[in-house]
Amino acid sequence: MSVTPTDAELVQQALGGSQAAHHALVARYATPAVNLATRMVQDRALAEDLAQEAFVRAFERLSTYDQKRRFASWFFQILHNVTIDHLRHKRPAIVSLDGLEEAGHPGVPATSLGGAPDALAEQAALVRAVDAALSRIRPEYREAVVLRYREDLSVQEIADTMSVPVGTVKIYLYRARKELASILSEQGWSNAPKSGD
Amino acid sequence: MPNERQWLQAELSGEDDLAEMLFAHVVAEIPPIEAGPDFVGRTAQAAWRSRTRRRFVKALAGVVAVLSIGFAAFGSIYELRGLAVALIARGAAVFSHWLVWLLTSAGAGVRWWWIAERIGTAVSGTFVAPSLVAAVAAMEMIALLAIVALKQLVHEG
Repeated sequence: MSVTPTDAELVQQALGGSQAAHHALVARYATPAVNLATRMVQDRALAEDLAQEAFVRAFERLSTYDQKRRFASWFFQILHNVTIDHLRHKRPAIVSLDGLEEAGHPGVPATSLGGAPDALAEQAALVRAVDAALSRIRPEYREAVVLRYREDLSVQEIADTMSVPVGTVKIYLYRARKELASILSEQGWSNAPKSGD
Repeated sequence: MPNERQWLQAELSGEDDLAEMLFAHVVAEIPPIEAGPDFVGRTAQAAWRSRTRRRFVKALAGVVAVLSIGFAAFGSIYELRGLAVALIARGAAVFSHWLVWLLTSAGAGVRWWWIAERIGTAVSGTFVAPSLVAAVAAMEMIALLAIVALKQLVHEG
C-alpha cells in the first residue's frame, strides 16, 4: 500500500536530487498556484507564467525552506512576491465575468451543485456572480480571500505570505466580504430569488 | 449545503460570525481555475533544467575559482622570485658602498685621532710639568725687570 508523501518528505527527496519529487510538488500545487495567480492578474496565460516562475524560484531556494513552516505558506509567499513584482510594473485591469471566462476560467457548471434544478440553476448563478464580483474587488482582498477560504491558510500564514500584519489581513477579509455583498446587492441578489444569469 | 442567499442575508444583517462561516462555503463552491494540461510537465521540466543549469554554473564557478587561485599563486611566486633577486642585488650594492665608506671613514678617523692625540699629549704635557713652565716664566720676568731697572738708571744718569 502506497502512502502519499507529505510536502516535507517531497522537499527532502527534491533536495536529494529526485526529479520525481520535483514533479510531484509541482503537480500538487499547480492548480492552487494558477488559481491564485489568475485571481490576482486576471489573465490565465500570464498566471501560468508567473506560477511557473514561482516554482522555479521555489526550487532554487528549496535549501532555505524551514520545515517547521507549511510548504503551502512558504510557496504562496514566493508566488505572491513574483506576482506583486509583475503587478508593480503593470496594474491589472478590473475585468468582467466575461473577461474572466476569456481569461480561462471555466465558470460554475450547475451540475456541480446539488439540489433541485431551479435551485441548482439559481445557486450556480449566484456562485458565478460571487466569482465575477471577486474580480471587481482589490487584488489584495482577492488574494486574502483565496488564501483563507480556498487554500485554508491561517490568518497568520496569510500575513506572512503577504508581508502584512495580522490585523491588516483581518481587515482585508472583512472588507472583501462587505464589498462582495455590496456588489451582489447592487445586482439584486439580496432581494428575490433569481434563476439563470 | 448552505444557501448563498443566507450568506448575503447574514452579511447585510451584520451577523459577522455566521456571514464568515457561510462565505467560506460560498468561496469553496467557486471552481478553481485549473492549470493547463501541460503546465505540470512544462513547469517541472523548467525547474529541473534550472536546477541543472545552477549546478553547472556552480561547478564552473568552482573550477574558475580554483584556477584563478592557482594562477594567482603561481604568478605571485614568479613575481616574488624576481623581487627577491632584485632585493638581494640591491642589498649587495648597498653593502659594498657601505663597506667602502666605512674603510674610508676609518682611515680619516685614524688620521684625526692621531692629530688629536698629539694635541692632547702637548696640552697634557704642559699640565703634567708646571714647575718647568713656572721657572721659565720667572726667569723671563726677572730679565724683564732687570732691563726696566737698567733703563731707569740710564735716564737718571
